[in-house]
Amino acid sequence: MSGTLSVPTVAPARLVPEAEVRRPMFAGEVAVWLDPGQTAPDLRARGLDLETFGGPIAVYRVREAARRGRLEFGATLEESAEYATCVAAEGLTGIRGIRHAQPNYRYQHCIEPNDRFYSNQWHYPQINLPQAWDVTQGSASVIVAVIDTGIVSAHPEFQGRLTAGFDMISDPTNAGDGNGLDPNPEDVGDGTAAQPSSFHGTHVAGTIGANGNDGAGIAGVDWNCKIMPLRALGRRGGSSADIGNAILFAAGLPNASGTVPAKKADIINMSLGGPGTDTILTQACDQAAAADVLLVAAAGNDNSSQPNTPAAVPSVLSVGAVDLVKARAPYSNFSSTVDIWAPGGDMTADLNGDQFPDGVLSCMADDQGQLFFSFENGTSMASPHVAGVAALVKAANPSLTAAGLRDILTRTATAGANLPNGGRIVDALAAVQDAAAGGGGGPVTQPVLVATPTVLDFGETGTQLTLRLENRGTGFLTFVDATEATPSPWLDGTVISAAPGGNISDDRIDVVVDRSGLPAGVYSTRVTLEYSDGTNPFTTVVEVRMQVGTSGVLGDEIFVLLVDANSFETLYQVQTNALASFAYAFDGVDPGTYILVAGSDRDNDDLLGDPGELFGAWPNLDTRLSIQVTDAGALTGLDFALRELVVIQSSNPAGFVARRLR
Amino acid sequence: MRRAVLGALLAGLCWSGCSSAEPQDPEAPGSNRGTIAAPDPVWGGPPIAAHNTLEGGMELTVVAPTANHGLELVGVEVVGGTADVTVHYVTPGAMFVAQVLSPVRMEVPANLLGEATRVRFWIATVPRDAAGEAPPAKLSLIQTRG
Repeated sequence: MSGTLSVPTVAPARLVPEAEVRRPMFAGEVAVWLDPGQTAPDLRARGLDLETFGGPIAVYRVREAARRGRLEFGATLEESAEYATCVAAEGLTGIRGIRHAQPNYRYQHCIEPNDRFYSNQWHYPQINLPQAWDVTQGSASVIVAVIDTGIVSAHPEFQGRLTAGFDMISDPTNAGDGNGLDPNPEDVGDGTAAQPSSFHGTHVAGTIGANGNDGAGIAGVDWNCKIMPLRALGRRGGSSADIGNAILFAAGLPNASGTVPAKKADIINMSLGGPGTDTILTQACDQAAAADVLLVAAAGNDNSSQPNTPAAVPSVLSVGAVDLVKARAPYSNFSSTVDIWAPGGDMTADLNGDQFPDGVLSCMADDQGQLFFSFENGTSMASPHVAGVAALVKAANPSLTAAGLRDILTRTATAGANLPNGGRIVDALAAVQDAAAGGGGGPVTQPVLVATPTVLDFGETGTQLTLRLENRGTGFLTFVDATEATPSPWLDGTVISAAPGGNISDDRIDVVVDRSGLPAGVYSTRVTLEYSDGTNPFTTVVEVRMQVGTSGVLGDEIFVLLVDANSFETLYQVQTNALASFAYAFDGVDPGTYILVAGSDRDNDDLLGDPGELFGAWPNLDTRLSIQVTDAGALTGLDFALRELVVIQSSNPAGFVARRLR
Repeated sequence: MRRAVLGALLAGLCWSGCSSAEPQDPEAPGSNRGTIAAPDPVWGGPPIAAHNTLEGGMELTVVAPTANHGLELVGVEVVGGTADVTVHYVTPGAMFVAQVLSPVRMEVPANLLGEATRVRFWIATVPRDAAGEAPPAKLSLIQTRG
């Protein structure tokens, strides 16, 4: 065999369009429409295992062995089962008596973000977040302060999401950054010679507000709110004074820094605690609450009925932790001061069988500067779920006070599995619906500007997408302006208002991009859309991105491999240097079944697919398909993109690696 | 060098030679052993485990309930086939700390364990920055070596 490898024109029975495989379905089930006069028993008599409830529609169940047939090579069970289901549907389509066969698609009304590791975030469906995202995905007008170890601001999940914070650690030794109070809340690590740094604040902030539905990494609870990082926990923990000052800063009250933020926080998350009571912290919390800030804190991890401070302060919403089955996590405190429960995980279990511990997945870093994602557990992880939902509630009804937020969160919470003291778990959907309907202290009294979607991703080829703008509050809003965060001449938009001069419920904006003349690379910007009710401005932010050419980093040596699909042995290899795009070709390939991968080997360990390396597979990393090579002729057009891998802890980022030839 | 430092630390602690109201544990390191029955391990803290390392040492792990915990190797004494390892489990004390479960690890190097085939961990819980002497270490875990 010679020539260039190519697209699905060959071996059609084995190749399934990516979009079909990725579409939500009941894996293992094929829906079929029978020919007139045919019945399921007729076809069963011919060996087809069909279920029917009468009428022309029946369901064919793919055999277990077939469904598991592609578990090899790191594919997840879902990917394998879905692939096998698509193949079975194709096979059934041509059978006599069957007019049409297709995967039994799953329809749902809720938003499922496309973040790569979202499927490992079991803790979001548990609190009905996907359905809540149908109502709101948050607002850039809402600020959540995170009082913690600071933040690793370079993490991609926080780009465009941070607002100015402060480093409140007064003791330079505890701070570890060479000074006391300073305006930089960057987390420099709290590790010691014996213990790596925790980068705890980064994990907590990721749960609250990691960028969502951006095709990479994980999703946060709120995809648009602003995060105000306040550093108060250092190498030895945090003091009453430093944490107290951070609370006052967030609330816009006089504090040790001598400054206050331009806009105070709406919500403060404190995934921290200590035993006993503390008058300084209590007073700081009370003052912040009086300044209309909702305070949320972790109940503590001592498996104890003893209260923890600051969670036990009455003006603070205390959050206990539940596990995957909504039972109290074995470590969670359970005092009567716990106000609400949320997923905190249990790393000793893997009840959903996803091969990862049942922890909460969020952003992480290490002392070597690597940025990745990790599972953690604790009431530290439960608290930011509640803080994030509070931010969504505030976005759904901006007129709510802190007391109103607290009322909605606790009143709409739902039962868990025998939680202590009749405890209830935060319910994101019920909370945002209640808020949008005017719960929590009165009806919505002002406009609420909502953009759908909040991310416009044109990918490599898209040129036009439509944005919808709605006023989900009261009154009227009219378009004022659209401004880009960075000058982006490649971007343009046209506002089309069905009711010019009136409410925006019918507004849509046709957004177009123009790649002509642009060098290869990824282009992105954030567009702030401003509307007005005649007196006050109302804004929402939409992220726009596109790619020109295929990914690749100049100078990387790229290895393109043909791997035996059965033995996973690399049989053929060609090399090239990465440019924006490059051609490859294999000659003299023996007939057989192969998997096509490519990548760099920056650490020179012969393995492609390590964190930090370029990696890709045909047709893409998420849906690796086998290629049937026959004597029939050349295969051409097998195009695919490489991407730089980020790491998810305890795993390799692509789910598999391939060994190159020496 | 490491052995000398550990020895000095051990000498500075108040095991059997000090006057104390605490009853003497005949199995405690440095005591006049030769007793017949060893006490059962007692550990009331968070999950604890020890395992052999590839290098022949022993790694002790405690899943601490929060951040800012630590394990400090105080001393190792080998008598016959038994190594008594004394450890301080350092807790955050009065500080406020991140409420995340945190595995804390400490390795006892192979050279300190000599030919011991049984390792006994004696652990004292010590709040960080606590004044005064450390509380008595209690036999907390026994692990076979090798």
